[in-house]
Amino acid sequence: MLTYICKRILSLIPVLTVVSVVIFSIIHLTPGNPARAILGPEASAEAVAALAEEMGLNRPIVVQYFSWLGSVLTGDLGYSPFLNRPVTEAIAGNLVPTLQLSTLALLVAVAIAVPLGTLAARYRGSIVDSLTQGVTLFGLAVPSFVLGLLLMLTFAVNLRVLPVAGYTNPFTDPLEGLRYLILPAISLGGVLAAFLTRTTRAAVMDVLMADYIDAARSRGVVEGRLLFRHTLRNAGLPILTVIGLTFGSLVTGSLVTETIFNIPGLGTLLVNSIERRDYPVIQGVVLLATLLYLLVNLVVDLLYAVVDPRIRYSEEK
Amino acid sequence: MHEEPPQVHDSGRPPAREGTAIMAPGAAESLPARRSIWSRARHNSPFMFGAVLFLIVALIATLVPFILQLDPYAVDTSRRLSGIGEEGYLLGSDDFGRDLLARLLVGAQTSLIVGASVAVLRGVLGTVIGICASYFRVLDHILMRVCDGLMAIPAILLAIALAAALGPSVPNLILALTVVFTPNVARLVRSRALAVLSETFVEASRVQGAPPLHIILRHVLPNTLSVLTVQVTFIFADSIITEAALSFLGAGVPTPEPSWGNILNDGRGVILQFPLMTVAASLSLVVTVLALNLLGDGLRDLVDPRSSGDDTRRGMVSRLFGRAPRTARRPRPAATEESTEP
Repeated sequence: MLTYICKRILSLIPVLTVVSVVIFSIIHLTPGNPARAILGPEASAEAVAALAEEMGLNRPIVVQYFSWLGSVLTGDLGYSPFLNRPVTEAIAGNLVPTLQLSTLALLVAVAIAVPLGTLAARYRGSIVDSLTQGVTLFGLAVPSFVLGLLLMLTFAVNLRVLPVAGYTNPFTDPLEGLRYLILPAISLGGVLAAFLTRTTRAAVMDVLMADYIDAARSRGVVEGRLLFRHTLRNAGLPILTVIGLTFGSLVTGSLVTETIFNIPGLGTLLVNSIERRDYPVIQGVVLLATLLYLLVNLVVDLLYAVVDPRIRYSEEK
Repeated sequence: MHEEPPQVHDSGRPPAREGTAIMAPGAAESLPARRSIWSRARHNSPFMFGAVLFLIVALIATLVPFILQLDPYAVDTSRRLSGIGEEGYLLGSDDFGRDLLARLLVGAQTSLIVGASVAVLRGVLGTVIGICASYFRVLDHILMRVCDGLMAIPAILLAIALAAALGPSVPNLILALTVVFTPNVARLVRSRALAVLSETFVEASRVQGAPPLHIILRHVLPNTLSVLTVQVTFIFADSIITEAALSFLGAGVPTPEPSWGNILNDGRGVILQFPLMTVAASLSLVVTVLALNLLGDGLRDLVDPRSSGDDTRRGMVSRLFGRAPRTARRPRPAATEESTEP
């Protein structure tokens, strides 16, 4: 098991190298001098030169890369000239709402997708299945920000049952906090749910064909127990994979959803930084989201090895 | 519980498909004589529906603004936010008093142009990279590590960062989207090409002394094209969504220029007074993406009759359109015994 974990972590190194190069390059892709791009066309030449000096832009690019990498590895993501504070601080201040939204959205998605997908697979070809397939087809065609806008329109503008936009921390005021988070979470989780429902349906359908299910059935196991204990547990692996894989879209989705609902999370920070051309913050947010994504996938992979010994052994060979 | 009856092909599905329905995957070689592509296409309802829907969207987007001489930029502040049919605007006007219909349609052109360019660029670049990687082992390691790295960064985020760095403009947007999404295509083409390269006929060709270019152009490329065609359709849809998201966030198409993302962004500001803007732009986006997804699904079945229709990617319309399940099914115990409680 330890060998497997080490192997899996080592395999991340080339990926992280490429990621770091790409994210480092972002600031150097700007046409002309990055310092000029940050300060805007009105800034004086002296100010631009001073910022370039401060950011170390006059050094050779390789030196810049390694010094940037060094500070990133020590947890220093740079300094935002606009917010007038370190990027790490700015990100930390905006991280909590994003994590809350992503988690809630994931819960919504799983709560919708797993029962629906299981039922659709069990009653394959029935009206439940047809409806599920139709709804998920539409779900996949609706981007989360569009769903968010439409939900906002229905529940906040027309029905007036939920607030249009804003944020209250659910940890300080659970009820009010949830009232603000529920629409964003549904709009984000809904799209994921469409995808997850299909995966669940396919996975459960596969398991339902296995011999041991027939065996259990012939032993007289009750249908509900058969479905949720015997089947779902074994269909869990592919479902878990998809959750891991879609985590990236969940994070990015939450960034977009936040801006719709004015939630002060990473997305709002990112969008404001784009308008301000605050590249250190953009780099920091992209880096953090990528690390989160890789970390989640690593955890999913390791979980597999725990759940399914076959993976562990075949990898160790 | 009742077990589903064998799927009835009331949608006029060719009998060949029924054969595949009950046969194990891989048994498709024994299909009866192949029908022509057109005949199979006609019987593939998702494909036809998607194709017709997409054609309608494309035709409306290109022809109507031209015929009605619509101007999406004409600002008239005295006629702001008028409703449907008011003040001479068919679909009303936005917060600057611009014709919403004109902006939607010209926005459709922008979306389609961005989507199509990205799809083509990604297809070509991805194919070149994928085939090179599959044929030259040294390149393979380098290229695939780069692809892994690019794929590790969440797509929209990377696109936002690139588009923000390059500056907002349509060509830069296309460039950013191409960079972000090419690795997926490259990976797909590579795996398909590797499979083709291990086939006996390629080996035979190599033994006869065929140069690499000949093998690539004559054998590998034609055999990867089918996978690629399907993928390009989905890429098209993906690009349209991503373009809209980026424009919505202010990192895509620059502002006075209409695009669905920009209209949604403008509409969000006036969602209380003029929800039609949000609804209309959302609908256009959803219909177009739906059409492309259906087209892709149908295309996948057309080029590969053995494709397992289920979980692979997006949009499986099988049930809606009466498509038979294509995985092997074993007979089930009689229905009544199943749910009897012990």
